[in-house]
Amino acid sequence: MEEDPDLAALRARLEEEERAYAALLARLDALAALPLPAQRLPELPGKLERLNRLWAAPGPPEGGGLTGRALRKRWELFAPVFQRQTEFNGTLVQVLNSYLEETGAFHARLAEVTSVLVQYLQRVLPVMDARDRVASTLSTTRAELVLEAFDRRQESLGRRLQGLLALRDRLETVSEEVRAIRSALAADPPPPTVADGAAARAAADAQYVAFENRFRGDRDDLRERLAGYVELFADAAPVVDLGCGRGEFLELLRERGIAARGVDGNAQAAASCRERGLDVTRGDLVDFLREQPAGSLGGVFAAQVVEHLPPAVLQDALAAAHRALRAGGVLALETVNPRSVVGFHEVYLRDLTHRTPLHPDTLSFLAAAQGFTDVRVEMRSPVDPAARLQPIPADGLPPRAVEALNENAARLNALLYGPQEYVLIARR
Amino acid sequence: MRRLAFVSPVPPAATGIADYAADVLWLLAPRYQIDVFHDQAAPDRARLPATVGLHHHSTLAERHADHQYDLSVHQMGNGPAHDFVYEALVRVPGLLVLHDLVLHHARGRMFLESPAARAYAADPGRPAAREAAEAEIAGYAAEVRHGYPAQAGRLVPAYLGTTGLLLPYAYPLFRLPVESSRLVAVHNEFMAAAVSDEVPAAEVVRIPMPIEPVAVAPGAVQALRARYGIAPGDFVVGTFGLVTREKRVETVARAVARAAASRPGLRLLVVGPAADGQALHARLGALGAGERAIVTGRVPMADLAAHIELSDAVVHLRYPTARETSAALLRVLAQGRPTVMADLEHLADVPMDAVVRADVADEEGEVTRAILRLAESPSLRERLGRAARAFVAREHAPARAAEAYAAAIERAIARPDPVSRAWPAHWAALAGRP
Repeated sequence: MEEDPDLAALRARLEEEERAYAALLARLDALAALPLPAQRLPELPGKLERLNRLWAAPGPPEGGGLTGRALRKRWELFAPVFQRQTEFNGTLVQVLNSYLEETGAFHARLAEVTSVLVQYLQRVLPVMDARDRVASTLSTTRAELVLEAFDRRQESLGRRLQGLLALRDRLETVSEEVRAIRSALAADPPPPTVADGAAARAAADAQYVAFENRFRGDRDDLRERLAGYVELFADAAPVVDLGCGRGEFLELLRERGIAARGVDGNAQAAASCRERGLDVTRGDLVDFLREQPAGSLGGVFAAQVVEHLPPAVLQDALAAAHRALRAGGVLALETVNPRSVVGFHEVYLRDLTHRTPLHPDTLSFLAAAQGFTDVRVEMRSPVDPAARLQPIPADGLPPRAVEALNENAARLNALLYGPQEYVLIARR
Repeated sequence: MRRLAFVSPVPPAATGIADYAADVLWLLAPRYQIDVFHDQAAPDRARLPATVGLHHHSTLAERHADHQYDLSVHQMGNGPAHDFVYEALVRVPGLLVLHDLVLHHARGRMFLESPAARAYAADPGRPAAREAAEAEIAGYAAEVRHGYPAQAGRLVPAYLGTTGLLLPYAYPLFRLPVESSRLVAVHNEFMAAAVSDEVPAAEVVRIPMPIEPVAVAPGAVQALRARYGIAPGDFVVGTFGLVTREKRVETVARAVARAAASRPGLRLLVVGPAADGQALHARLGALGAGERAIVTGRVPMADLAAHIELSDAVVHLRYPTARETSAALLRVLAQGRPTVMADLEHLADVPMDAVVRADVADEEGEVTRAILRLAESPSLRERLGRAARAFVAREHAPARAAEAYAAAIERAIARPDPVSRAWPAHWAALAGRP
């Protein structure tokens, strides 16, 4: 099995060090087998015991009679010498005893120290091994963190790539369809001017429908968002939905039993609505309103439309709506809220066909100027709370600083992350 | 009637594959004469069809020699409950049902956590311990070398020297079991492609996992809400399955805690056995979800559906993953629960409109936002639940799984035994083909 050269070199060095370590440890171990004096000189304790027994000089002789007296006389003559010799012997034996005791204790201590030293050296390897393991675990943890981050990113990119590949497939399919349509048109071309105009309009219409599909969400999402407006028109039939798009709101009204019609400039959207049985005209919004008899409508609704109109056309549309509505009729206009930075940047700027950002006060003023009453504005589409600046907890921080920071965060939230849309509601 | 040997853990073994095996046996029992080979002291007979025989795995080779089975079906996973399957699949090659693409953890453990290997790990300075462990280490190294010849030189010492979990996920180590089988069955397209990429000669088929919705008794969910003290306006986020690091319960808890800052009344329901329930509770508390968490531990299978339906939304995260198709996820989808799941490549089979996918690069944020969106939109929940239910009914109907199994069994019977290759010596010896 091939091994990394650096790792192989480290392993070789480790083996060499381990061999040297083992050899030195074996030498030390051998030196630690130091015998005590009693072990080396087994006759010593017996001799010492005999010395202790013999050190005292003999006492005066006992016994009576002439011989006994003569002996005692002679002993008394030498008694001072015996006494000194006895004292000398006693001191010498005491010194020898102390010396031998001390030497034995010293040797025992030396043996104990050597034994502990060997044990200590034997523990060096396990300690180094435990340290190695801790270091290895730490470095593994670091590697795993990096690997996990990388792996997650790769997984995420993999999924996105799958999505892109699916999109590419779809694009290729659509390209084929377009080629087929072009071939059919080439085989049987309509009069050039009409064909060019129709094709251009159809292409633009198709693009806008695709745009709406992408950025305004699917039909179910939109129905869910618009459902809240149905109640406004509960007693306001017939209702006109200006710029009705894919007809979601008209369907909601129909389900509620409220008569309604729609108008949209996009031919593809209007045709799609009609396929679903909705009463939708393709045409200009202002013209459509002007065609309605005065006071004939109960409600006029427009979601995400007024910001597409130039100011003069918007004013014309408001005037035409005011004329077509009966007294008490409801006007509801939903539009992007340009006061919200995220609304303006993420919603308004995304659509190239937006013409006029409408401040709520401006739209209110224009509606009132055309004669509408009870004009009010309601905010819609709040930004996901998780996406807003989060208040900081008070833990361990000065309360006044926390209060000030959180108040500033709240102000910034209001400016940056205010509701992305609003609806103007007014009555004729 | 064809005779099958069915080698698998069965209930009550602590693996989801045991439950799966029981479900599959009920589907196959009417069509085949089946002997189940297991490694358990007391299999739960009541969970299995009465017609299947139950035998210890050590008798497989002998029984097969006495009276040949038409096919041996091996249920293989990355857990210790499958250790005995290796020998069986080599001795009696057949249909390998590969539940996990990654088998490296289990196989590594079998070699490197043997008593001798453990003794060496505990005292690496002792040459005698090293010698005793060498046979195991050599066996492991040989299998890694067979699977990854170019990387084995660095991979084996790296694996021996680390304590991390991620490395084996990158080297799944399934080549030997695949090469030793007549046919391989998997449950998702990702695994089918991965097996084919690494072992181009292998025959691979897909079998849907059989799952069907379980009827929940009227009032059962309300009773559970009352039992767990869930208030009427509370929104319950559930997570299901054996609580392991891979289930990312902590990520779910953090997401619930974050979402709760703007949506009060969020509850976290953790259903599934945990090694240490108290430690789990303490951890959830430290993450800010303690007061809103309900930790049930293991619930009986009969009560599982009611617990799923108790959840207003379910979060299903997996990382890292052995690329298994999760029965726990499919059960949740079958009950029509709106589900947030990790956006993983092997789960691409789940339709886009049936779940909310959480990008794994920002799981916590994605789950937080998904919970808030689901909590605010009953219609979105209803729509997801409907699509999820339809997906499972369409793709995982038991009848469909039974047909796919039958087709795979016939195909495997028609195929010859795998040819010998330059397998590691211990593997070739098991196969009787040194």
